Amino acid sequence: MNRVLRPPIPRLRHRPSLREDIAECMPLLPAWAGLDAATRAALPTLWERLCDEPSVLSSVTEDLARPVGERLQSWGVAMIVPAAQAEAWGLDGEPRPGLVKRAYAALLDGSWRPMAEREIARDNARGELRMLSMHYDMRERDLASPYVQSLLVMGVESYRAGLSGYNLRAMYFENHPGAEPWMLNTGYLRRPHAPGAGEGEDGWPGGEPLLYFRLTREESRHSAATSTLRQIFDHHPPLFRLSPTQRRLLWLSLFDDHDETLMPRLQVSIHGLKKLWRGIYERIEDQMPGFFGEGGGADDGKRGPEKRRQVLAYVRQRLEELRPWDDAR
Amino acid sequence: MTPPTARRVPRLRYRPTALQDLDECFELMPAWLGLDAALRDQLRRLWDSLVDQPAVLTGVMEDMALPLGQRIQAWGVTMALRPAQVQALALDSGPHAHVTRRIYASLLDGSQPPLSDREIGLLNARGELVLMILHFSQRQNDLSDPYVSSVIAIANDTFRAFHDGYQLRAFFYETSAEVEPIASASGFLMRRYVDEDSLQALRPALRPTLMGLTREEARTRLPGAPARNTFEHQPPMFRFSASQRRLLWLSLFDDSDEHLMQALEVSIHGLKKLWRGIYERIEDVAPDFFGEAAGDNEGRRGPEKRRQVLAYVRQRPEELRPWAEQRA
Repeated sequence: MNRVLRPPIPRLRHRPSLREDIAECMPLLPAWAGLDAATRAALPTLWERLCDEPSVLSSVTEDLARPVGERLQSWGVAMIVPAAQAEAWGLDGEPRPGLVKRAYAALLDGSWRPMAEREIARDNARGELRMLSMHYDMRERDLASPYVQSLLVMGVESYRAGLSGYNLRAMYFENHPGAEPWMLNTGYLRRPHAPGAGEGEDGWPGGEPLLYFRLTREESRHSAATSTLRQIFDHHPPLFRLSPTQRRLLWLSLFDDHDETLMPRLQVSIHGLKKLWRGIYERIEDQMPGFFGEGGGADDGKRGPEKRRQVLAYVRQRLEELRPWDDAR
Repeated sequence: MTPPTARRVPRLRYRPTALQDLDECFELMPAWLGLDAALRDQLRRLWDSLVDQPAVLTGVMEDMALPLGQRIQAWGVTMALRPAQVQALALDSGPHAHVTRRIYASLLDGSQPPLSDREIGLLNARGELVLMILHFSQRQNDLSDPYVSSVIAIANDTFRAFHDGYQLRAFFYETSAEVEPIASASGFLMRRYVDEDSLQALRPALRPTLMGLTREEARTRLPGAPARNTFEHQPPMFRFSASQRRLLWLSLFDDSDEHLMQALEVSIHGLKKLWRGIYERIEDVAPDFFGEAAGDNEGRRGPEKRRQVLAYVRQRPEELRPWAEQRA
C-alpha cells in the first residue's frame, strides 16, 4: 500500500497493537516514565506475553502513507487494575509518583498478575472496574504542528474505541505536565500526588515532575456532557453475553483486515473461524430473534457475509457487547 | 426485536434519517423554531425531497429496545450552505435571530435550492464549505437523567460520523439557549445576533442561540472537542463517484443488500457493479490495497474486499465527501 500512498498526505488510522508492532512501539515508551536500561531491555519479552492479555488495552496510530517499519506514530496502553493493586498504589487517594515504573516492575517480577478474563467480567458486571492509562506518546510532540494535531484527533478516537463499553468505577492517568491541557480537555480531573512527591524516595522517575489525573464514575456524571471521558463512562449491560473468543473475534473484526489475519490471531483454522461466526449468529438469534430480519436464519451459507456486517454494525455502536461480563451469583 | 431483556436496557444507535422516519422526526421539531401549523405542514412535505439531498446531513438516534414508532430519541439536521446565502444571512458578521427558519423559508420558496453534489465538491476542495446545524433535538432533555446522558453520548458519535471529513471554512449551529451549555462543551463559540436584545424576554427553551466555529478559531484550540475535530482534514485519495460514495456511506450503517438496493434504487446487479467499480478505483490508485493477488478472484473475495474498504473509509471519512477540483 505504501507504493502509492503519497507521503505528503497523512493517512492515519488506529487499530489494536499486534505482536509484530512491539519493536516499533518500544521507542514510544515515554522518557518521563523513567524506565532504566534493564527494564527497557526486558520489556519486549514482557510485551510478547502482555499482547494477548484481556486486561491490557494497547493500540497504535499508524500513518499508512509512510513506509512499513516507520508507520507507527503513537502508542497508548491502558490496563485494568485489580482493587487490591489500586489500593496498594493509592490510586483512589494520593499516590506516590512513578506509577508506570512501578507497574512495569511489578509485571516483570510477577508481583502483579494481569487480571484474568473471568476476574474482569466479574468486576465489570459489578461496576467495579478500574482503568489505569499507563502511557500514551507520539513520535512527534510539537502541539503547534498540524500533523501532531491530526495524531491527537486520532488518539482521541482510539481512546474512545478502546475503553468504551466497560462499566468503569474510575480511570487513572499519570502524565507529564505538557499533556495537562489535553488531559483536562478529555475530561480528567487533576489530583494531588502524595505529600513529598518529587523528593527523596518519591523523586520524579524520569527527572521531570509528573501530574496525576483521575475521574470516577460519580465525577463523570457532573462533567461536560460531550467530554470523551463522560462518553466512556456511559454504560449499559450487554445483551448477547458472547463467549471470550466470540468477543475477541468481533473486536478484531471491527478493525478488519481479512480472514487470513484473524485466523492466526485467534489460533483457529478457516473452519474454526466459520464455526465462531455461526456461534455468534446463533447466540444473537436466541437473544434477539428479529435481529437479522424475517427468515434471517434460513440460509447460513449465503447470508454469512451479510449477517457479519449486520452484527459488526451493531456492536460497533454497542461496545458493551465486546467486553467481559459475568453477573452470575 | 423487543425481547424482555431489550425492554429493560436501552439499545441506542444512530443512522441516517430515512423517508419513513420523518413523521416520527417531526414530533421532535424544536419549539424554539417557532413554526406555525401551516409552515410545519409545508416543511413536512418539503422534507420528503430533502432527505436524500447531498447538502442535507441528517441522522436519527434510536433506541432499539423500544417498540417501532417510538424509537427515535433524537434528530439532527445539518445543511451545507451556499456562499451567497452565508453572506445574505450575515452569518460571519452578525445575523438576525431565527437563521434556521429563514433557511427553511428559502428552501420552500425555491430561492436557495440545496447545493448539488458537485457544488459541495467544489466548495469542499477549495476549503470554503460552510455547514450549519439547523436543529438538533431530543425527546427528553433532563440532563440529570442517565438515559438522556446516554442519548447525548450517542449524539456525540453521530456528530462525528456525519460531519468529519469535510474541509470546512466555518461551522454554525442554531439551537435554544437551554441547549447552549452542551453546544459550548462540544467546542462551539457563542455568536451574537444583531437583534439579540429583543430575544431576552423569551424563556431559554424558546430563545434561539447561535454558535459557531471557523477554521482559524479551530486552529487555536486543542483537539478533543467534537466541533474542533471536524476541522481536521486531509484530501481524499480515491475520488469516488457520487453513487460510489453514497453506497459506502450507507454501508457504514449497514443493514442488508435489500436495504441498500432500495436506498440507491439499483438492482442486485447494479449494486454488484457499484462495488466492483469501487474496488477497481482503489486498485487503480493503490494497487496493493487488497494485498497481493487480490484481484484474481473477485467472486470469492468480494465480501472480504468490502470489509477492507469499509474499515478504511470509516477512519478516513474524507473519502466519503464530495470533492471536485476546478480545472484551470
